Amino acid sequence: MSASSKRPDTPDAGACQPSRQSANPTDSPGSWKPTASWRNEPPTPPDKLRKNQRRRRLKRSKGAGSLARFFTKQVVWFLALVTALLMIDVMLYVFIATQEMDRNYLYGTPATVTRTVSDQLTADSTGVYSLGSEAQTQLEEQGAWAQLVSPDGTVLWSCNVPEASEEPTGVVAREPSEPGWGAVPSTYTTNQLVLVAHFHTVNGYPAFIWDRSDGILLVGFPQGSYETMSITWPEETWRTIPLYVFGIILFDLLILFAAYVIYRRRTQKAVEPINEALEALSRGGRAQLDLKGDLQPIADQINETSDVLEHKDRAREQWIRGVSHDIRTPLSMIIGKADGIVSSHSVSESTRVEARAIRAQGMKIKDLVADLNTASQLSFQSDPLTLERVFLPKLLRDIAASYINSGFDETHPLSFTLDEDCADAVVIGDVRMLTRMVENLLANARLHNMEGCSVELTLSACTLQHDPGVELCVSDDGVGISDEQGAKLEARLAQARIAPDDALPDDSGHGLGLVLVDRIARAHGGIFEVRKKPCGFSGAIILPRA
Amino acid sequence: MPYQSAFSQLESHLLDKRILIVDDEVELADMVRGILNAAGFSHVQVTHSAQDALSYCGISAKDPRGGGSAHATPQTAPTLPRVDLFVLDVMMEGVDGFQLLSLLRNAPATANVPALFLTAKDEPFDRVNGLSLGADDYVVKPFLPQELILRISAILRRCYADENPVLHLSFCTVDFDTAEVTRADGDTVALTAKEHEILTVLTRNAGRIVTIDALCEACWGTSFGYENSLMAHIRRLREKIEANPSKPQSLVTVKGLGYKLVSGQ
Repeated sequence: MSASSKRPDTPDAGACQPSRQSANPTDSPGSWKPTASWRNEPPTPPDKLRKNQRRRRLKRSKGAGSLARFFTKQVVWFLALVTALLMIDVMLYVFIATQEMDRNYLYGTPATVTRTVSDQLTADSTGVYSLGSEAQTQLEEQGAWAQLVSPDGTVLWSCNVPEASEEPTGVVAREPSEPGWGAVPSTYTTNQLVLVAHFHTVNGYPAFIWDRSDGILLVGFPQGSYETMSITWPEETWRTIPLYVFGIILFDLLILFAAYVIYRRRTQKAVEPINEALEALSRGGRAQLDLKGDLQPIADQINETSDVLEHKDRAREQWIRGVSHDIRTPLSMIIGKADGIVSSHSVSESTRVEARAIRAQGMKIKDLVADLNTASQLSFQSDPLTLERVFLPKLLRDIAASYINSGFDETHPLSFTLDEDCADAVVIGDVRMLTRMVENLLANARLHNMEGCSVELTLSACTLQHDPGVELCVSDDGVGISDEQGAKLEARLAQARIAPDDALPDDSGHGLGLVLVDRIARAHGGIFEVRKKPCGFSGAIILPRA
Repeated sequence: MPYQSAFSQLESHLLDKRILIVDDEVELADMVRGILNAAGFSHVQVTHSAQDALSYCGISAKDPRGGGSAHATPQTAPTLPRVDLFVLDVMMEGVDGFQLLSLLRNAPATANVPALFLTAKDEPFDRVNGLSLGADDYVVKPFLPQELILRISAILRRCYADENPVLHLSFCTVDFDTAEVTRADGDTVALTAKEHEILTVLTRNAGRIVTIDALCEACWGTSFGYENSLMAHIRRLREKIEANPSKPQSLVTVKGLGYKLVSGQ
């Protein structure tokens, strides 16, 4: 009771001295100025985590709905994908082409065999042909035969030619059932040579030709080893085919893109309820998901988590309710007994002063218990407000009348001023909560000025974000609040707005009461302001008018 | 009697009313009795369970948990103590306060006796539940003794107003039966029906502020749009009961809130 020794002239001085008396005695009361940012943006809390949380929430709310940006992003993504695909295709093509080149133009391919045979087939001066050993070996390795046909159709030289039972009549047998299949002619007509050159086959043997000065060299490979196709299209078709191919690829890409977008949308749609549920959970709400298919286990998990959290919240709420219930009876005893001593004439004045202090502290605990219950209701109940149309002048008259009827006005006279344009002011709200809010402001004025002060309750018209609103102001002419305490209170309210459950008491001297005022005002779509006053403390609640 | 000062307006016959406190917290019940005694109530009894309260009133509860099957036993009537007001706790072992009140309401002897809940249960639902059972008021612990006394006296005034139909004010007396005001100078003026109603409401809450809204609701059934009518009626009422209507002594205005009746016995 250091404060009571400071003020021996006031009997109630020791009853309830908040720390603002001792915080900074050099500060003149009421000289604290609210900062510009105070009204709408809460200052940054010290906790980095919470800051990030807020940023994430902002980001989420901003990102939704920007359809154009979504599509731009999708197109860019898709183009990048197509480019990457094209590059991979080119690389694959180069790889395959080199592979094929190696296979077809090196040792052992029809072209090289034919060329080798032609190179090594020479005629001596007598006109006798001989083949080099290398060409011989290659022919044998391939199981191929060779013929040199003179311009008049006679075979000048041949090697490994399969024996035929009879001379075939043609060279174009393509199936084993056709006559002449597998037989190699020993003379060729011009027509037959042209056909061989055209179809690259001699009765089933893939045949390759080499033009020589002394005739045509024919090299035949085993049946079924090579297949030659010759396609003849109009020149225009050859020119338009690349366009067709390009068009087909483009069409395919479009279909792919559409499928991709649809898939993305579908995924997003499927994930959206999960996202919403998680967001609800992070805000302390309830999540109930009913998903089918692959996401069902996740939904079940979220539901389970929500149930566990809800159960915890309920347990916490019940615990708070239980404790506050159990505290009421002993508190009644303390207040009642202290009141008995205060009213008793048979004890000394100093004892009565002490008893008055006990009673005041008891009343403070009573308010705290009520605040605790209200806070727990706001935190844990999914639907904390019972909204109805509230006729504010009547509510305020009731509160003021019961304040005066309780006898508080003996030391703290209350005056109520109602502006004419607010005579019919109606707000949508919860009567109990609104009552609690005003009572807290009145109690705040009382508790911080135990030695007495006059309290003013006013209701006036104002605007709240360009809409009509009402301003409900409680101001006193008491000791007020120092700059430092004002800043602390501001910080605490700001912190409570972000993390309501973390609003731990500080040493600004203002307990849960004003935090609750702020929370209730916000729950009703309004704001709470602490105002600078030359002397005393002033708190204003601005609510939207119904 | 330390609380008497707060209480000068309470008519003396109301202090003789018999009050029964039912609370299983022995110390608290005794304290409430002490508070009421200090306020001048001389007949205050305490019981610590619903069963005791029922037998105190001569009611047998056959099935206490059934909530409602109670009847007065034909006992010898004169020995039964009469109770004029119940102060009931809610959370009690066995039969709780809510059940007890419904039992009392079902018994002819106590069906119309006013009751006040004094309880630690502060849920809106509990309050509604208590009042819908027919309780006259619902006080939540912890309470200021003054508050309890004021609420009890308001109930007593409301319920037993008929017994004392004469109101003594500083300048006149009002007889509610005949609706007549007898002024100090001997003149007699009649009250209109609305003036009678207004004065009745104010008398029941003598010493306390009655808001404009409460008065309008009592007289017209709504609190909207009758403020000017109320002011007119109050002005005429003052002409009848005040020595100087422009400087009222008995029916005082509480600026912005309502009116208060200061009885001057």
